Amino acid sequence: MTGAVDWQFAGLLQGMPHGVAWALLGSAALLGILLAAKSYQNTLRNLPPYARISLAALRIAVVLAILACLANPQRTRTGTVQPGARDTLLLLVDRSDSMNAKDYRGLSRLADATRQWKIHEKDAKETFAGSRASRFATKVLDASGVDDAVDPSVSAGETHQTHLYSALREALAKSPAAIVCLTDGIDTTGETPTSLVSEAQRDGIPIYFALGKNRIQSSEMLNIREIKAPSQVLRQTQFNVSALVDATMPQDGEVTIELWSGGAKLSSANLLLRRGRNTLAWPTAVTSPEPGPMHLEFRLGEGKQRQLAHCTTRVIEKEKIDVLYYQGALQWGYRFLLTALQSDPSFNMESILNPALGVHLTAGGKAGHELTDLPGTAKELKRFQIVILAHVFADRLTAAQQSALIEYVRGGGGVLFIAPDSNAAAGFSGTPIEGMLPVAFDARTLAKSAEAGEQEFRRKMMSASAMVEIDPGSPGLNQELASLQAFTIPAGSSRALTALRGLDAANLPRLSQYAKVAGPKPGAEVLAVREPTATDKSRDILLAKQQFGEGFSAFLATDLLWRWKMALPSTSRAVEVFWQQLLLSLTPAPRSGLRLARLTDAPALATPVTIRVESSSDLPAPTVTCVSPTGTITPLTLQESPGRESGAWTAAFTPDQPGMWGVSAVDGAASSAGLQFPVSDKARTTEALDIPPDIEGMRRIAESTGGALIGDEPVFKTRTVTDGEWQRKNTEPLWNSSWLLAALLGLYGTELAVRRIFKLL
Amino acid sequence: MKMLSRRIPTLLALLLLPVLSLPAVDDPGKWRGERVGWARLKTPSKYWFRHATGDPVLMQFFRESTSLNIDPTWYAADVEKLDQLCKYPLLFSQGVHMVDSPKGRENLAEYIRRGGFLLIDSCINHGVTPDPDIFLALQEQFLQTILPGARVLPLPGNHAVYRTYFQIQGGEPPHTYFNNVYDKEWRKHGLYGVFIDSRMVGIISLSGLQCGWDRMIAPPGHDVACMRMLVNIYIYAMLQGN
Repeated sequence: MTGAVDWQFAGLLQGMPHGVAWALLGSAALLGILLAAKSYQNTLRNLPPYARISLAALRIAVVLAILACLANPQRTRTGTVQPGARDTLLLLVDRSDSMNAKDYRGLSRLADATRQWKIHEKDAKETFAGSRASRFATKVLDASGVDDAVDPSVSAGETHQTHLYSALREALAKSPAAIVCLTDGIDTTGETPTSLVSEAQRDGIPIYFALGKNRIQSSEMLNIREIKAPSQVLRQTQFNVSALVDATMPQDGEVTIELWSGGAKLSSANLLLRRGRNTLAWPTAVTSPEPGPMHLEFRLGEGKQRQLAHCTTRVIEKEKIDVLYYQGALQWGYRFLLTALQSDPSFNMESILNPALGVHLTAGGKAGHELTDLPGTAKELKRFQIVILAHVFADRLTAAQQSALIEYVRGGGGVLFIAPDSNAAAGFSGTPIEGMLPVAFDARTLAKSAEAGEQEFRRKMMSASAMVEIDPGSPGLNQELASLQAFTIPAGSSRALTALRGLDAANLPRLSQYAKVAGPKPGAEVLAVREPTATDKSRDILLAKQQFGEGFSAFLATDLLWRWKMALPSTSRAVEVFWQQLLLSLTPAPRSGLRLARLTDAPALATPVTIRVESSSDLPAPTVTCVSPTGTITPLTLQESPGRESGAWTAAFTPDQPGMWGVSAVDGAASSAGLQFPVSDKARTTEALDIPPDIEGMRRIAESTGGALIGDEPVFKTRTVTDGEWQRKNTEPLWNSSWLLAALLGLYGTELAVRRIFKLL
Repeated sequence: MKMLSRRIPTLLALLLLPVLSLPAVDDPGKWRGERVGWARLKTPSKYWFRHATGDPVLMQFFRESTSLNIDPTWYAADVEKLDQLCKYPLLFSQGVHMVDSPKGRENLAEYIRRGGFLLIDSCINHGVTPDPDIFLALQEQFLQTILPGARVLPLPGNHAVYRTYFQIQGGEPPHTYFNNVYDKEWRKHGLYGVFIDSRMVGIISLSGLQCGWDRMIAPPGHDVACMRMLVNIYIYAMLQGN
């Protein structure tokens, strides 16, 4: 930055004209000098004149130093700024093989994109202060200009793949004013543009695309990349399975996908595919039959192009639910919750109390493996389907315990967070645990003080008619607990919780105490609210639930409902039904069973085909074989996938003949999975599949970031940079130094020492 | 300098005051749960509230030595009014054998069936409880009448109730003796559990725990020992399912 350097007062004098500021400062200094001189004019003891003058001078120095500190002069620089990276346009040129392939006219997509860019280059020059250029395929390389970036004679590195999204993210990191990308929109990494769009939106950088097109005849490719199904399900229940389809289409069209089991078609759909490459999931609901293995087969496409993938799900009679209960405070609800769950042998509850409470309780664990505290790793939590956190305190959960809980839910676990106390709940405001829960806490609305809570409790315990002042000698205090408050299902809620649906209105849970929260989070489902009363119309949230990662978190803002249990006839099972149904509804779907996924896009003769295998980490590694078109079965060796958690492997084989190959896997639980796919006689990379340009995909990215597809219409808005626009003002404190403070204290200390010498202290 | 040296202790005290007044790190009261009340079972017996004057001392002991959020006062729950009984998860009684009305008996049975816990502790005053064996037999007979199938069994010395919170040495409750005179007829009794199937629904004590915490004549520290036993029984009851 260049320009003038000036200074100004800060603090109370900031903004005042220099003359006024100086006058005020001078007056204050004069007043200070007079007061200092006056203070040593008459002293308690007679002093020689030199001592009087020395002491007065020291005090005056202190006063002046304090005034100087209060004035706090600042250096101000005002000047013009040269255009920097933030004002330039970054041109990014895709130089991968698909951009260089020529059609029957000899025209490449790169040439077409360059032609489009040239039309708008003049506008861009007028809009932006400058421009830079880079070329990329797998790596981004700097170029001296547009002509250099598009020059086919200049190497662009490895060009058999396109890392489009990572190149754009790399460009975003340079903070240009805008990015123009010459590309055909093909990214061969399998990455999605979600994070790219988020980063561009966050930085406010628009992305424009000059999309290269030509007349190369595109080919069709269908692939079931992977399938997902639970390893086991209960009999006669509905569960979801899904297939991830990867398809390349020369034109917009559709393809049929079917799900078969035991010779019967369970469901089918026509998937709409747009021109170019498509990756889409097809989820479908299936009803489980009677117990036994259920074979599921996905069929994609028809004829020679048909792709098959299959897996097995075990249908079981009854499920065992392991619950980990962690209690942060002593309370009676545990006894009643435990009794409610013990009445159903499906539940096995392992209980631990906060060790700081000094109560020895580790119930329900396997002998020798009892937990003594909430685990600090997700791995230890994974053996439980649900973790209940009852009345916990934020300052009693370590960072490792909180992280473990979050990782556990993200990985498919369920957490039920029970907090009847507004203060304890508000303590979680801003913690990672709050980030996982379906409600937000408000630390500013801490509830009543302990004293107020005590009074409220006594008010509830004693009826107005029999209110007796507490006297240790007075016997017989009659009490009447205020009516328990009722749960109610929120109006307009289309989905009532199963736990509540099974109960009639009279048997909905009733509570004594509940925590107030700031509100539900977007995406959370509020399942129950407090029933408004005559005096309090608010409908505070009592129960909410949300998906978090692959698992669920739920929040119950009440006590453990023991008073409700005690208020019901002993013949009533409403409490037991509620707790059991609530926990069942929170039980995450069983983890996925054995899964196979093909990592090689276009299998070809004499080219390795890689398969990813995923299975339960509790089981030994599955057995994987490949089957050639002639029926030869070859076992494959599994290698643990680097960087993945246990239970994931890769296997590879090299086809020695073209045709329909298959890969099958069987795990220790007798579950099986398989894939079938064609192997061509000629190796082809994704770049060489002649995938059409992804016009819609690029349009979406451009529009999401404030950019556009570059066509015939002008896309850049010309602006004129005025001199004033580049003005910058920078201020810097001049005396922001510890030396000045030390000097001031030194002067004051010297004055005190001198006063002591002359016996004034 | 002399003046300054005289003031040093005062200055140090002023500096340390904020530090010394900080709560202890492991103060159990920091993590209190839901508030609960302590109630005595009101029966036709004229002794049902005997020693109730000492109950606030017990509540204070609870609050100081545990994180239980118990109300510092004591309440009464009339055996004739079921809704009053059901406000308390645990009821303290001088003895239930005096409940003679059908409604009172049915209320007490229903209270236990809903999940309530009954703690019976005999007063060791011979005017109130002349014979501990007869007292125990009366409680057992009453409970078996209102709750068919209920069993009263002595709790062994290694039972969890003796170590749930405090470690009770020797695995037996502290005994209070009438006028502090040892009596083997009382001494022989430990704690008795009241069971319905495998579920413990109550405990019978013939140790005069209430007499102890109400500071009847006893050796020094006996009041605290009685309160520690009571705390163990209370917390044990809180943590039991079926």
